[in-house]
Amino acid sequence: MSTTQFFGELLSRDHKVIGKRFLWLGLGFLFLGGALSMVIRWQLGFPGRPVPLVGRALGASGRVSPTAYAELFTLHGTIMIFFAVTPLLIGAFGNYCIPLLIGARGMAFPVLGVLSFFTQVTASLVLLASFFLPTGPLAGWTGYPPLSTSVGTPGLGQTLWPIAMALFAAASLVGAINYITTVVRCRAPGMGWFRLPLTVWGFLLSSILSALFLPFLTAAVLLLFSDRLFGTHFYIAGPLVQSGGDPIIYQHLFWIFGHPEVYILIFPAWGIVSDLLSFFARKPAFAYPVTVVSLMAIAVISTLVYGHHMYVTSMSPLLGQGFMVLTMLVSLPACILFITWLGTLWRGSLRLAPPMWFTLGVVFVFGLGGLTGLYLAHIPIDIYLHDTYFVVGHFHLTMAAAVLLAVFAAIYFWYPKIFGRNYNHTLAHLHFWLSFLPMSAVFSIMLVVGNAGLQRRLFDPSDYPIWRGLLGLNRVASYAAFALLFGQIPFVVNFIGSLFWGARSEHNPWHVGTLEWSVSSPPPAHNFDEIPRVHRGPHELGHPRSDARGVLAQTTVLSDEAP
Amino acid sequence: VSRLAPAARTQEETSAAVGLLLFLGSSALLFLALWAAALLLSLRGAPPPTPPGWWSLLTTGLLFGVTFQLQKFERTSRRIGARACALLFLGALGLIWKRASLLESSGESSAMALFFILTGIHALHGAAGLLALFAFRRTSRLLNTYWQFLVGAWILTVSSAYLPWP
Repeated sequence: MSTTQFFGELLSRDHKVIGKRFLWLGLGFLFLGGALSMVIRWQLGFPGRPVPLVGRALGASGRVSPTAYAELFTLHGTIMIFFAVTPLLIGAFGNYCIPLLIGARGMAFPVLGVLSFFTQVTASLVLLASFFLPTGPLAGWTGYPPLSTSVGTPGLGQTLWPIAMALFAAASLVGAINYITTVVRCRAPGMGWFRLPLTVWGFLLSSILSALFLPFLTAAVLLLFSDRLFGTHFYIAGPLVQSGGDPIIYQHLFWIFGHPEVYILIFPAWGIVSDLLSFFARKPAFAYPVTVVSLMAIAVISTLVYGHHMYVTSMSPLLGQGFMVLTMLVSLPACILFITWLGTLWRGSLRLAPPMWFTLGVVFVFGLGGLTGLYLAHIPIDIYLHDTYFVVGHFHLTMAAAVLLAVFAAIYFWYPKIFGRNYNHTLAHLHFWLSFLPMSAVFSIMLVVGNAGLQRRLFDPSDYPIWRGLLGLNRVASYAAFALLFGQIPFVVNFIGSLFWGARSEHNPWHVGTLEWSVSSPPPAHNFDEIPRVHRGPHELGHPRSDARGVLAQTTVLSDEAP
Repeated sequence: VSRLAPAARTQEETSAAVGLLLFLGSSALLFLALWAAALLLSLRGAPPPTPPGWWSLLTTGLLFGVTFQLQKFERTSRRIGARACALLFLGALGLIWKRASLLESSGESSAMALFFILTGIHALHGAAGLLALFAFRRTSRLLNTYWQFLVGAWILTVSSAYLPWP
């Protein structure tokens, strides 16, 4: 391969190539972030004991030091949210699927796709560089000052964190602009707003929130970077600082972005779940317009509730009550969304293929995570539960369990399309049960120990007599976490093995009517030989005039319809 | 774009307009976030920033010069005036920073430091706009829209130094 060809391949503007690159990048970081969590769980379950296998990397004693523990949970959180789940769900499936689902030849701005990917790679490299420094970032994934300032955490490691975050924000913003423009401008003829697959709605709303709120993250980390590098005092307060800084300003800026970030991640997952439930229940999505309106309502309300993360910052009680009511209000459209999912399942002809199992898993853990969110919305309860493992369990159920199960559902659903190969369904089912059960156990136990008052981010809870009794539960959670790690072996074997030895996939193995299944697997570079004309919605399953496999494709013209 | 058929060109231009508006909306929110932070800092007792004096008029005039030139020579390849105004604007910004000795003033007042950050973010946008002035073969309405946004953001940024701070 010549140099020109190499750079031509490297800078490929094909959305499918970019999507696959995001997939590999995200999977790599998913396993890195997951591995870090295993060391965290070891310390919580077996405090002070040398870590097996990787202990030597932590020092001569093989034990986790308090500083190393702080680095571990900081990097675990940062990697999982910004460098694993985001590239996996939004980068990979957004880039790969959106043009195929809406009947376009590509993204509106193919160059922005390349730019987004390489900016994300640069951000990842900056964050990875902190692994090789004497002290990495250790102020938690939220990076709260004054701990994250040079006063709280001197050294280059914590300085790299805002740089990585700013680059991440730039990459995501570029991607979001590309997604929104593509959906608004590049839909195939006939693909009206209410004929879009719900997956596309998920990506669209997620991108709108990204475009609106990533600038606030950029502002927050920019000021933090300035504090660390230029000696400004935006986030440092106190009698010795005359320039008038305040660390709470960071919390405002961070959570204005941080709360919608939950929805930025979960919207694509909800969209995918809504579609897959319909496809595998072999009936139309229940109340499609209601689902769309619910998603929109959640998007709007989610922009107004960030203050519930700051109840304990001596906020005005009146303001706190406002945030409390608005947070409770989110549950209304969320409940409606949940009911539409149940409505789709009701009296459906369920096909329990691997993507469907993972989808049902999302419905379960999201229900659990959503319900625990209602507790945290209440000021009196949140004041008690704030900074406990209850909060950790809640956001792991919603942002980790629900989103990751949705990622796996998407991988198993589109794997034949992306790679043109079938995978082993037995291994996929095994992967589901070995992920779902331990995942639910770990995060549910977090809720229990959090309810007992156990503080998050403690290096060794057994130092405190009141929490020694929780060591047993923590140990069970750690065993479940280790089981979760081993549960990924079938996935890795299946994913990699099927690339080489998987049987060739047929074009439409799931018998659904959306546009991506109307082309070969994997699709050609130009996606569609002719831009398709869309005649119906994406969920026409069980239609009396569908074909022998129960499919009525979005492009099918019935005899009594105008072509 | 110029190589495409007229219909496709219109499609591409509309998509570019949508993309640019989204980008400018996000940029406006970045400025808004920083202005909000400046307001909060002033409420916490940060001394107000020192107004840049007649430099504000000069820099604003130069930015208006860019948009005027782009408006006058829309869809032509004549951009020397716009380029010159943009270069002079960035140079004038550099002089403001030098005169106000960035790091010393930043240590004294967080509001002043934030003013520098705002002008710095604006300068980054200006540098990107200058790059576009050199990169694109012809001026376009979109390029002018971008520079008009920079004029608006600059007027608000500079005005913030003159506001009666709480």
